[in-house]
Amino acid sequence: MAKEIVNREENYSLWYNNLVTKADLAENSAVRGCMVIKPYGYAIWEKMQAQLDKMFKETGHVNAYFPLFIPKSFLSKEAEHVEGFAKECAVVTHHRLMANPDGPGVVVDPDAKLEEELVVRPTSETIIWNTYRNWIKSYRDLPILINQWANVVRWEMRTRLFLRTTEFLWQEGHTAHSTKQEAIEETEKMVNVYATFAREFMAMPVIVGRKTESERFAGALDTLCIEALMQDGKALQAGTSHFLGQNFAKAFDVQFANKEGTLDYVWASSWGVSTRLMGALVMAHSDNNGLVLPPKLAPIHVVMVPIFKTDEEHSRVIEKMELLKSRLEKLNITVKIDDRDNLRS
Amino acid sequence: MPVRVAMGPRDLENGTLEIARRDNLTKESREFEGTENHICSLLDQIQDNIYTKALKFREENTINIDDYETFKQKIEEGGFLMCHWDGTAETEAKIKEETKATIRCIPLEGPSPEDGKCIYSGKPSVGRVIFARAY
Repeated sequence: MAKEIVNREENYSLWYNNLVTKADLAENSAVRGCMVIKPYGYAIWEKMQAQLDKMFKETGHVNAYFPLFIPKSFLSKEAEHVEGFAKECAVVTHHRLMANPDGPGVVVDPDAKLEEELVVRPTSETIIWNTYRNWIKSYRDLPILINQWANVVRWEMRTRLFLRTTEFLWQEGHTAHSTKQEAIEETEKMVNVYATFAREFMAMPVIVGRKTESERFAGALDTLCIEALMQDGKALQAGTSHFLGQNFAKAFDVQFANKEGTLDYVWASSWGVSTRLMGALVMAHSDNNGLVLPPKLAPIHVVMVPIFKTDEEHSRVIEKMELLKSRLEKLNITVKIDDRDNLRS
Repeated sequence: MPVRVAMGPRDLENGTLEIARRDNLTKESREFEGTENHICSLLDQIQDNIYTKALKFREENTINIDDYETFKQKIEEGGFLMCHWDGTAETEAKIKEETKATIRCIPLEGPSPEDGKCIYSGKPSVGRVIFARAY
């Protein structure tokens, strides 16, 4: 395996691609810019998901799920938001195919044009705040602390496995609060959850900071982030948490009656991390011999390799390994015995 | 895999095994008995070691820069360049256009902010921000 990876000093970008493909994490697909996450890569993502999900629940959040499609008109309700995402939206215009009248294959049925076009979500603030309008009437309905695990699509021109793909997996938290202060505290709390996750589980140092106005999320009043430094000296934004003020509440007319009985717009935050973290994880620790994973996110902690000449030796070594394996498993350590025939010495 | 265990007929005779660490590529021979506890603490050590290594790398590649000429040279080498900035989008855009570096963030942790002068405009600044080329 090691010989097939180019040295990172020679060509960092190729080194990264070699690592991802040779370690069987992901590969490019038939669809430009969209990747296939392979079982080993997905197992690491699942470890990340499990830990993050635990941390979200420990901080009072619950999971829910909202639609993949967003009516086009929703997106334009928040002016800055639509401006930020318009250029990378995939749009559904029809709902049916038909046999090609002029030859083989199928064509889009021109009679199946949608009345209103649907955008494949690039992020879900609009569909979620449209939903929150029906959920929030009074201060008793607040706060809402919801997270969703989902895929999103942002039509990227230059893509790289995990780091920038047209479709990616992520989680997006969308919270609603009765006061500005509470929404700001939520924004800060969640960026710190991300920082803790990066440091303690990914073993990746990050700096918590605030984005400048021009780097802010489209529609946010404030964007907090965690930034990491990769081995080639480039920075990687690994997670963001936004204070949205009352922007989306105003755009979707989400008002609540406060304790005094007067109406006010709801305060919001949103926050997310994606499969981009997989790219960060690979780049943070790996070397010219291949992938280096932090034990806390490694799907398998220990691999055992038997050395033997005869079948009798083989069974004695394996027996001993099975014993150690069972002892390790009691300590929650995952073990794989690499018992392929070709390892015979 | 963070840890690799190898065992052969000679190990069976001696009651030993070989443990190799992926992070620093070291190997050691150990007694079979009690290995599970050793591996358990070894995994914690590996977790700490790779964090420390990555932190050291970041610290070695984080530098304060106070003039734009040096900035233009250093940005080619990569890393976090801690610089004073006048707080305007114009300066930010000019620097991006000329060097492909962006302000990654205004740090909320680390050394407390000090006053200074913007590396680009020379105007007053209230603290350093992180410039870098980014993914």
